Amino acid sequence: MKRVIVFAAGFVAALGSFVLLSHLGIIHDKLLDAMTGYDSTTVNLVSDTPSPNLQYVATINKVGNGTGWCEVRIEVHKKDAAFDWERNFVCITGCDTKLDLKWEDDQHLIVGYAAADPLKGVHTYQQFRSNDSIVSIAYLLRQ
Amino acid sequence: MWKQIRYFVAGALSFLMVYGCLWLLGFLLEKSFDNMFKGNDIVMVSDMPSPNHGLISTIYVNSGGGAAGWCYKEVNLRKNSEAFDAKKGEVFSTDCGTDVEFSWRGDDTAIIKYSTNGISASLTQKSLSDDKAVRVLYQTK
Repeated sequence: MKRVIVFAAGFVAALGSFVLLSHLGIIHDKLLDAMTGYDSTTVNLVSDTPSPNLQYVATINKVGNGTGWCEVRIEVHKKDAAFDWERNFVCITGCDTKLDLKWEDDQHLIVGYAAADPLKGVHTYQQFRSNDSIVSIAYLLRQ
Repeated sequence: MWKQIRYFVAGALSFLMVYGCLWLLGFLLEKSFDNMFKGNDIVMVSDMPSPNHGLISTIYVNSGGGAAGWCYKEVNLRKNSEAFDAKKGEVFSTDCGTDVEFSWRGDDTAIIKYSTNGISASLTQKSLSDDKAVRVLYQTK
């Protein structure tokens, strides 16, 4: 009987530790993230291109993590406004894509893009307006 | 005392075993669902031979994965003598809702015109065919 109680105590102790670590957020997602490198996501500013009247800024950020994931995101936002690189993007492409941004006027941005390797091609997600719908964005594949 | 520690550790390990088995079951179920939705359907939209009939371009729809799956409109290029293979020669891919038109300008230049919904587009574009024989130009409609 005593053996059963000690065995059950071990089982309950392991279960309790598991529940506690889960509540603390140490295991599950965070542990898996740490194992796979997802917790090491870095965001590096590549360039800021202000509109002619300086009211808007087109920002290129390079994001990636330890798993080898790397992409470039373009955000168009009001100067000095806080923006969320994860959600407020207008364009996503691979890190090897060559990008050039040019403001045609205060409300028109042109995003030029080219594949580093024409045989490999280039993948882009393109949004044609800024999130506040003020800035119109055109995309030009450089060939 | 050592015996009691052994029983305690056995109890803890049995919890880990139960948890591991449940995790493995979930993992296997997820894999089996993945395999169920792995297949894809190819629907041909149009074929267009080059002026000298040496090459053929094909517009096709590549879809799969059920209700939450994917659907792409793609263009590939192949030699006239080769059979169509959706896994080869792809030069363009976009969402299914996009209207895609293909035309030849001579035997070595292809023009792909595509529409956008005015909000967003997801595109994969190559400027050269796999054998580098054809240059691909793009225009929005």
